[in-house]
Amino acid sequence: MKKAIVLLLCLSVLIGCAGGGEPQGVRGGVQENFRVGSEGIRMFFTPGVPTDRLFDTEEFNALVELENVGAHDAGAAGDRVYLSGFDSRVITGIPSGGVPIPPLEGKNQFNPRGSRDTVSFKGQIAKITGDVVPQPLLATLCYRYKTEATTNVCIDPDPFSPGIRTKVCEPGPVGLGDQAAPVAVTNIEVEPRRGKTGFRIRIRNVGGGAPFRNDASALGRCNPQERLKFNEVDFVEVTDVKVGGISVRSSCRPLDRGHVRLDPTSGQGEFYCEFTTTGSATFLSPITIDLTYGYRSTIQHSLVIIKTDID
Amino acid sequence: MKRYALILLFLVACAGEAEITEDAHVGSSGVKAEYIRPTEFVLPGERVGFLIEVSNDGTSESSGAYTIASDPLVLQLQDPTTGRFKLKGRTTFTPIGEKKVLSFKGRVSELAKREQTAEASVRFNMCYDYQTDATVSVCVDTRPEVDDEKVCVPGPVSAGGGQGAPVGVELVEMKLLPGDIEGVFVPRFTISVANLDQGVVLAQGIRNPCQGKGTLKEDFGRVGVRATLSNVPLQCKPFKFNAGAPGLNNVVCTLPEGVPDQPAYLAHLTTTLTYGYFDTIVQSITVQK
Repeated sequence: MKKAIVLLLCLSVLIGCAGGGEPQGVRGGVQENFRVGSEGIRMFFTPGVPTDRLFDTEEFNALVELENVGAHDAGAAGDRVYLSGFDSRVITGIPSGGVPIPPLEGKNQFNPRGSRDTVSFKGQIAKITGDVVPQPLLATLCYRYKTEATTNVCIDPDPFSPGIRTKVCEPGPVGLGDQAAPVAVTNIEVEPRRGKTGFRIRIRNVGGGAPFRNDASALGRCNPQERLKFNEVDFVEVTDVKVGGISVRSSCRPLDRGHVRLDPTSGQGEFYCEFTTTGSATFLSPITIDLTYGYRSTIQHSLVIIKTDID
Repeated sequence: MKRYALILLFLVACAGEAEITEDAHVGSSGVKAEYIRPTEFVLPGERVGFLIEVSNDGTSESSGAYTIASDPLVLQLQDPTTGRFKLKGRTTFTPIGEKKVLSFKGRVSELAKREQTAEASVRFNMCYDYQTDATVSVCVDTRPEVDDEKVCVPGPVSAGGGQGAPVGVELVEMKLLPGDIEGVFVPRFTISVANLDQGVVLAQGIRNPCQGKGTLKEDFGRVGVRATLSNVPLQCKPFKFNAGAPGLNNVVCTLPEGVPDQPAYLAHLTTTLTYGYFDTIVQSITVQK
């Protein structure tokens, strides 16, 4: 009898600790909400490659790890990593044109973690005249990325009609969470009018880097050896805005060659789009906002070159 | 068992972290001299000896001459009272420079009948050649108007504390001037030099102060200057060190071929100064009856 009670107790403990099945947000092995996070590609130097100190006349090796933690694939033509900040007469052989980023799949329902890979830089260290010469390294990542933001908005085609109507929803501002990308749609204000509903869409740079025009030549000028023009930095292309599956992109303004400008200090920008409505009944409709842009982020690594006395 | 314990102890003792001074070019001393167990009080007629340790506390190999002198009425020093030395300096892997101990002998004079005491100074003079190698990191930014992330910010670089020599670089200022070709910038450096020790800066090879001879005015402060930026030689204007004008001893050097427009980076500027140096130490002795 006692043994049976003990066995029953152990069984209860095991059942209690076994959990309720699949992790939260996962159904049937599929990650339902993978669009979380405020980064695109994360970048860091592999620890020890290079170390903090190297001797002159040694070989130079640097490994940069890339992790795509956003929801869009990266590694297309033009996406590159550059190494700069050092004296090219001290560390020689590093290509000024950078190295291409390998294809990096973004997060999706079946791959909630994204993917990672490495790029390497090889060179040679020349003899130095001082005993100790600091040579900081700056890795610059330049790539194209996309943000896809979706939410539901309430549309009232006839907001000021007299009489009492039963409404399924009340038009108002909608806040959005992050969308697994470095530029996010933060807020949509719904402005209902008779026959038209306006949407004031606010976006923000949340990734810690700098967005620039979605443009092949701008992507090339992201190379630290070149210069991005003042009218290329802090611009994000509004690729499409759809309400209930209908594109309203042509109504969006103010846009500069299809791009919205972000304030360089706050990183915020906004634009306004309109949707033509019919009827009088309020309804909920999905709104989808697609943004495309180039993105630049940088990391630094401290390195010191030490002179050897061997000639 | 005992044998293994001893071996283990030996290994553990030797395994301690060896300290390597990576940057040996620090400090403001060159060749220094010091009396060893100095004699302060002597008796009339006594035979005395002086031991002087000459050590190279800086980083440059140095060759020079020395002389010892005193008031012959009080102390008569025996020959030889002059000589030469050659001492290696410190390096990254040899943190202590070479030393040499010199000995001198003499005889104290008798005092006059009415005298109870007499005093004299024993002066040891050194005249030696030295070299300062000063390396500083300077930020070269040909795009100051660009607001991107940069590894450094241009500005004056302080090199205070010395570079392992009595004459040192104190401050380096750089200006980037537009070159003749578009996209090329000419760096111009103003390098402030100071005498950091107690001696006198001379031209290289001058030994007159140690030979009891007069020194020509033009031999004071004549310093040879060479400079490189990232191993490329700079053009420097002739420089004369003026001890009476501290703060105005500036060397101006430029890189005529310039640097191309590029992202900000840290370059190393090495300044080599070659000069002679005169220094002296004094020991007072008192003759007592």
